Amino acid sequence: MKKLFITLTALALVALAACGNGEDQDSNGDSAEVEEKGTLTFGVTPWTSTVPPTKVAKLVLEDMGYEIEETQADVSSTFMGLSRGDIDIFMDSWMPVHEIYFDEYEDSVENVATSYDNADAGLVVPTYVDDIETVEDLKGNEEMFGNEIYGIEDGASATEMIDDFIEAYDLDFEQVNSSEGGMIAQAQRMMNNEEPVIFYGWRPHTMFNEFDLKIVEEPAGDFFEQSSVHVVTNGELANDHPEVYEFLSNWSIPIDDVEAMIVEIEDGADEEEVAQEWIENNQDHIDEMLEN
Amino acid sequence: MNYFELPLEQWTNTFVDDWFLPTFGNAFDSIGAVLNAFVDLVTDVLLFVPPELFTLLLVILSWRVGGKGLAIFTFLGMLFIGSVDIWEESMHTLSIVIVSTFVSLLVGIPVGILSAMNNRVQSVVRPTLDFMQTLPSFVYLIPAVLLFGLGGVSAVIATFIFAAPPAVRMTNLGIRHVPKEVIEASRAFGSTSKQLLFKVQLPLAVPSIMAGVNQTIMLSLSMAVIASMIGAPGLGATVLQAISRVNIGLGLVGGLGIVVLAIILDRITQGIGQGQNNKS
Repeated sequence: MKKLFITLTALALVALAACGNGEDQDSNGDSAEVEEKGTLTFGVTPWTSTVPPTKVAKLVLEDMGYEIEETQADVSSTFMGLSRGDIDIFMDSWMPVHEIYFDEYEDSVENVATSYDNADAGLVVPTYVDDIETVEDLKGNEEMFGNEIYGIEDGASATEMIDDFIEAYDLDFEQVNSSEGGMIAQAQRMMNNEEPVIFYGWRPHTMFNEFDLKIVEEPAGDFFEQSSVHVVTNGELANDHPEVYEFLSNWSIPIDDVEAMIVEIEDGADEEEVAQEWIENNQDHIDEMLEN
Repeated sequence: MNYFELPLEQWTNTFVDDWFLPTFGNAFDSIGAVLNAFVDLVTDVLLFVPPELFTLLLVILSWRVGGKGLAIFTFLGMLFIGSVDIWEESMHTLSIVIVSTFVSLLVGIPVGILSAMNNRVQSVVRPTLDFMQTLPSFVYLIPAVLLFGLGGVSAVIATFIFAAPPAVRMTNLGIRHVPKEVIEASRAFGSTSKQLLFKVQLPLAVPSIMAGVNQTIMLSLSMAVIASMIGAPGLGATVLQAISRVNIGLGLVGGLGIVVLAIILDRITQGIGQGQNNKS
């Protein structure tokens, strides 16, 4: 009896609140339905490789009835957000370079799936640099490159790895650090003049599409191993939204598809349209991930 | 509002890639080489002077322009920088600040004088300065690398764009605020325009110009972290390294280093400005 009373009161209040504006009531009703499923926040880093998988996952989750928000941040802030719960999902975590963040936040973030595990990374040179094929060829040829290797930010794991690499192979190189944009701009500047240049490259990235580059092979494989890209979530996601967690733990996407999407986006295509197209072409794969 | 399509993005890209860089690339290379030599020279001098001597000179300077309190602060600040082991980084930052400030003043003060003498010049200069100060620095950071390469020179250029405006504005303001009576009196005594500028207007404008110098230095320091994204060495690089590793302690060390440099430079330039003020 008491329950009925409360329900009636609540209904009356809702009716009162909506009084005089039927349309408003409608939209309230709609958003309440979505509200039940909740809002999920994606962390989006400024790398070109983050956008395609994020958009694909976003469209799928929106289809499931979730409200999706995107938070733009650099990688360390993204992991901080993941650990605090401000960000629920991050689609573009690179191993082993992001291991430091997992060590830092091991209790509060979870590595739920591998997107793809054959992402090449290493030192790259333009193809017009004929004499350099493997890292052994670098020895004695440092001067050709002005004794400089261009890397990304100081403090990034790739930066430390390159420093270790220079030391291990006893090369007369100094690493110049800036940022992804700074490094690419510098390389572009030198490639415009057809000067020899060596810098840090990784796939998937449009640099391989824009310039003729080759990766300097390292047969020993001590330094530039292939990276794998992972989906990372806040530790609570498995409890809060099991179906999302289930979907993400089945997640995978071929690296070639990601690169193709990056190229389309950089050529000016709409990000969500590109993602939608991929979903339509890969409906089987999506269904598999959703276990339908 | 999309009445017609403005392909600004494409125009800019075509303009930069197909015309600007091929045409002016070499010219900018030589400007870059000059600036690079300048940055290297200042850095070498700063790193060559033993920290103890440098501190002593700076303490004496602070004492003369700012008094005992400032001298003590300068000493403690330099002691801090040495003790947390960021001396070398600080000197790199300082040398970029010195060169950027120098270039800013070299361009800024003459432009300020011109725009104080001529309203038409001012009507062009003012919006240009607004543009320079409000355009987000990331917009010109990467183009600077395309023109000048990674490192100190691009950092100086980016810092110049951000930090030069106060030098122009304060010079302009200082000259315009010289009392009419003073100018009339000088004219009455038969001074030429040149004499009027160099013997009356500029000396009276010095406190205002020094306030501009002070602002320029402060803005240069605030660009330190951003400049490190295009390869400028120094305290900014320490901070950038710290934040990408989530190393809060190292971030504070680098950050406080910038603050210490800023306070010392601020008080010294203020002291010089006030000293001039008292004399006049």
